[in-house]
Amino acid sequence: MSIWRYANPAEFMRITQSVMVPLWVLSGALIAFGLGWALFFTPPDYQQGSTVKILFIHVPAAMLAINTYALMALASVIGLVRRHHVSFLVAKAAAPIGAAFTAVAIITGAVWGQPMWGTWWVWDARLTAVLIMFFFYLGYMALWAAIEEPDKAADLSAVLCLVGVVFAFLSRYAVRFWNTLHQDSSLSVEAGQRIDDAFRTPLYICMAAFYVLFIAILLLRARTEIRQRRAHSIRLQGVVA
Amino acid sequence: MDQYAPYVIAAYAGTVVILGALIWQSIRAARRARHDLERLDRERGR
Repeated sequence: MSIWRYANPAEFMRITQSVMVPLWVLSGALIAFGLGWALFFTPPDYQQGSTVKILFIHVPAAMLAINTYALMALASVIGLVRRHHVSFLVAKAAAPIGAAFTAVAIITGAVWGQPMWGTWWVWDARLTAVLIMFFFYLGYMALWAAIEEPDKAADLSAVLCLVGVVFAFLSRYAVRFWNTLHQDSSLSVEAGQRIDDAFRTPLYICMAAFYVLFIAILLLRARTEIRQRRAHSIRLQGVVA
Repeated sequence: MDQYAPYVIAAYAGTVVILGALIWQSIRAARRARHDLERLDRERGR
């Protein structure tokens, strides 16, 4: 059985219909549990004090900001190469979610940075790359909105998305290329355990919560895009007829 | 919480506002698209 059958809009709508409610319930439960644990039951860090609680939002949001862009780039490549409309629409649906998580990462990072670094913002390599990636999200959405013809909008937006991939890559790896103020990843397979278990377990739960929430919103928005596309086609048929 | 409580609360409140707005807008757009398509299908079926 080929995975490309999921690129059929009717098949996509049929399969996603059954998972929507469980996804919302699971994301709500995980967010309540994970953030409740992070906010009320984690101890203050010996250096950061209670600002460590901000990282339970900042880290998952930053991961999703970068990974959503990677997903959009992958969907754009599939759309451009195989001409699957659902791929383009999934990329389009993901953009506002990625922009929102990027905004959360930037804002929570700034709020953490003020007491810990003594500044809301520095033109550090990682921070700057994330800010430029945020502008690519906004540009991508603006381009979709500016072009009336859906196929042309899909193609041009996909190309713009691929141009911005370099900033998603830099957002992830800038701390390894340059000696910057922003520290390296808190979670690393290569470097072993870098954070205490008291913080690590609730952090994993918050990451799972944010990812499930992301999938729920993405599927909801992708279904909306497919419906809007179908309504557009019906209207066009009416005009031609 | 310690003297950093205002920063922690601000970060959580900002996140709730941004993600809440995203979810609200997504649900509103989904409802509108579904009703729009149902109306068009009904009109086409006449």
